[in-house]
Amino acid sequence: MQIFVRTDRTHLLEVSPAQTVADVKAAVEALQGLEAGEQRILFNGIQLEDGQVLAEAGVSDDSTLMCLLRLLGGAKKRKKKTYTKPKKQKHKHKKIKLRVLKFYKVDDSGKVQRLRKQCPNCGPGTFMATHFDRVYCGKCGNTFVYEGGAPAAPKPKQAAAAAAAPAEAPAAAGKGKKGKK
Amino acid sequence: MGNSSSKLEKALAEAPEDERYYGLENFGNTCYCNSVLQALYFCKPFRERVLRYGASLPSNVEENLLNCLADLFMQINSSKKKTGVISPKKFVQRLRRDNELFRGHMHQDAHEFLNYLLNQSCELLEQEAKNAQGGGGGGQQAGAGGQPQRPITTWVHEIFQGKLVNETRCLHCETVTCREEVFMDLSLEIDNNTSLTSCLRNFSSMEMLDRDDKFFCDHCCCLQEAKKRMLLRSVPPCLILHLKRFKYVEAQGRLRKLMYRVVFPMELKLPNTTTDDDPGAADTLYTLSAVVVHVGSGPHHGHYVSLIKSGGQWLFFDDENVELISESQVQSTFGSTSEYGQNNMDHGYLLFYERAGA
Repeated sequence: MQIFVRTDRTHLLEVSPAQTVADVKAAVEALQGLEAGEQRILFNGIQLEDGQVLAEAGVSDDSTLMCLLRLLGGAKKRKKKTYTKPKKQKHKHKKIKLRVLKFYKVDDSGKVQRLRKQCPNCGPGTFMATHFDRVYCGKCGNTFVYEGGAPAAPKPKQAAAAAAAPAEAPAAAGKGKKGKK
Repeated sequence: MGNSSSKLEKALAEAPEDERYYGLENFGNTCYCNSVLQALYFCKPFRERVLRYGASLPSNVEENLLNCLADLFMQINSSKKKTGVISPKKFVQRLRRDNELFRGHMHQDAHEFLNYLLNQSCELLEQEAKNAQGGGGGGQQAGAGGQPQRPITTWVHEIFQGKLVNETRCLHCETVTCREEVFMDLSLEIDNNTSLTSCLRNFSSMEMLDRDDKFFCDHCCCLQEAKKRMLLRSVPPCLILHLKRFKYVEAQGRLRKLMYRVVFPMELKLPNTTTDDDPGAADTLYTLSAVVVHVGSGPHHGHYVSLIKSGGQWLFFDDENVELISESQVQSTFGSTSEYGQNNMDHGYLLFYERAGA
């Protein structure tokens, strides 16, 4: 018997009713090159399985089989995270040569003054770092927060540092420009 | 999630009171299933019948694909809240047990799944009808011999099945051979920058059968050149159109997804496709009720979502997520005008049209 197979165009195939769907797929592969595994054959609105015999599926003389392919899908799409706040910048260590010198001051009389508070846990000789609102012991992690916000003493320092930074920045930028030219 | 769902609820305030909008959980690559289920759920005639079927089932019935589906639909329908997420676990498990193809965690074709689900439902209903009729004595025989004639028309057939007529005209003796076939959906060949109407017209256009594909005419008793066309004889209340957005490129020996722009209208009349003996069919107006969209650049992987019209509003169903969208967003799934349009990957794949006033 002859059957029509409709891919993107219509082919005529000569088959016997005892042949299977797989045979039809193989014939289409031979005609158009598209792999049998990729094809789907439908008849009367029903997708046929490879092993099915044509006669049993109801295919008879002049029947039209539809040959389709697949569009696969199924992925779970992950939603992209949207950050509302800009990324936090990591603290960068500032290298200052001979930082220890800042811990002491020699006054007019020649006596050495220690400018940093010493940690009560770790004993004398362990200085605590002075931050804008607290002192912190790097050895044991002991922290004292100043009462009533920042004390007078570290504040100007902060301001000075802040003032110094922008001053440096333009200088660097200037250098960069020069370098480019 | 809680925030977005309440926002949706507010937006849906105008939607019908008894309508439920539930997202479906994805169990790893099951969105081909979810998107089709959503489209079917919002296909009103189908849902009604499934719910009615589900309600009529005895409690100790043996589990099958159809009653799992009914179970899922009832679960959604009887939910107290208007929105939420439901996991179709039982259904997917049943599907995987029943069908080898869907067993793995691979990507699948939504049309293949839809076709399987509908036909499986038909088969189960036929089986039940047969059992009710004759105690299932000739069950096996009917499975083999009775199936092709389809003696029983189930409600699934009533909703989705239409009839095609195949006309072959031998160019030598002018004999016309006609053959009637049924369909559950129409698979349409597409072209770039076309409309659905022109694809439908193309589907029914005359095709020459010549050279290697000559037709054996019973009248002439030899191979002859012939002309063939396929016409719609009767159309179902719910028409499913399947755009063949795939092509085998013979020169490259590989499959490609077609990104072609195919405009599908919100309201459709079937042009030229009907045969003369049913003049009323040409005037039947169909309205677009759901679109299953394939997202992705190639035929081998991607994502499926569905766009569904309910209560005059368009909704976007992406697995668990349900969102309100505008009609212009639906139009963005037509495809891209340039052949290799890369910016838009969403393309309408399955279109569900319902007969207006049905």
